Amino acid sequence: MRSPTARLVGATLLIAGVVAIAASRCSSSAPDGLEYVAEQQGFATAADEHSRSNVPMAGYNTSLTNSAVVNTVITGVVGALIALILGLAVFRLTLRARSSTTNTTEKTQR
Amino acid sequence: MHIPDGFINGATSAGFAVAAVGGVGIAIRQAGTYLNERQVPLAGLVAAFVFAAQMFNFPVIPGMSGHLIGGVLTAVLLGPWGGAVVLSVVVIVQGIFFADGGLSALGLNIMNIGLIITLGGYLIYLGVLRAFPAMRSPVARSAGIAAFLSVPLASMGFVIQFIIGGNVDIPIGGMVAAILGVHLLIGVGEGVLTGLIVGTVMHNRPDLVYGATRYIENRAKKARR
Repeated sequence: MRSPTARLVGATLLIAGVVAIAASRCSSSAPDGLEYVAEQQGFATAADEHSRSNVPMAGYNTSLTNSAVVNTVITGVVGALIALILGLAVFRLTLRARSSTTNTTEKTQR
Repeated sequence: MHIPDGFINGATSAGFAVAAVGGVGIAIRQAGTYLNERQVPLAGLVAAFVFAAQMFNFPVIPGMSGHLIGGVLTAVLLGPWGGAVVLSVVVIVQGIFFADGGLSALGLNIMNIGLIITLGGYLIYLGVLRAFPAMRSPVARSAGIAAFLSVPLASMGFVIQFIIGGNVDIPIGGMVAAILGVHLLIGVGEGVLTGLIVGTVMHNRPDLVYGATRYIENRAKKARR
């Protein structure tokens, strides 16, 4: 666990794992704010089924194991890793956007 | 739950999708003007944390729950534009891989909990910080107060989208009151969690808190004058 990448992945696994275990054990299954209001005000039925409702981790659930706790932890950790990778990629892009802007400014200044 | 397909009509959703693409594009460029290479791993880690934290629903009132959104949290840690990029990434991951938030509603959701909550929330943060300069642990407390207000603020984004292109004909007044009411309650959780997390980071690594470095620099400038 010495390289920065390994440390980053390790930190992600640790944080996501702990939060996902907490989520799987004591997260409330009651509807959240928008869903609650939609039901109260009678527009919940307007929701269409999600176009990707058959993806393996739809609804933060998976049928990989028989344990609901383990399944939630798996989706939490996998999702966090996807967010990490995509986040790193997009932030590299922000730096590239910066360096290209600086190059243009330098050119105009000349 | 984020906005699913079907609540808001296609034309409105498409309009907000275009606006969201533009907004995220601006956020990516602007984040690049102040973030440096060493902050990229932190930004990735914050994205992973926000994703995981949004899975945790805390009870609010009987029959209703809420979860951390992390708009002000990420904006205070990574600056408003960095926060906007992180939240947009999280919303995209949730929609594509977890069927949370309709794909046609992606622009609507990015607008509310990617852009409005981070940029608007950060403005509130700066306002609170300026209004109460003598407060104890000003950064964490201002972040908490701003986070509390940022949730009803973001929910007003949905209200505007619903007024423009809602697919269901219901009395708007009652809907607005209900949306605002429940999100004020959920905001309490958002404020407490944000205050605690920012306070913890401020205690251990204040150098990682964008919203604090600017605050300390400004105070130093004022002291010099």
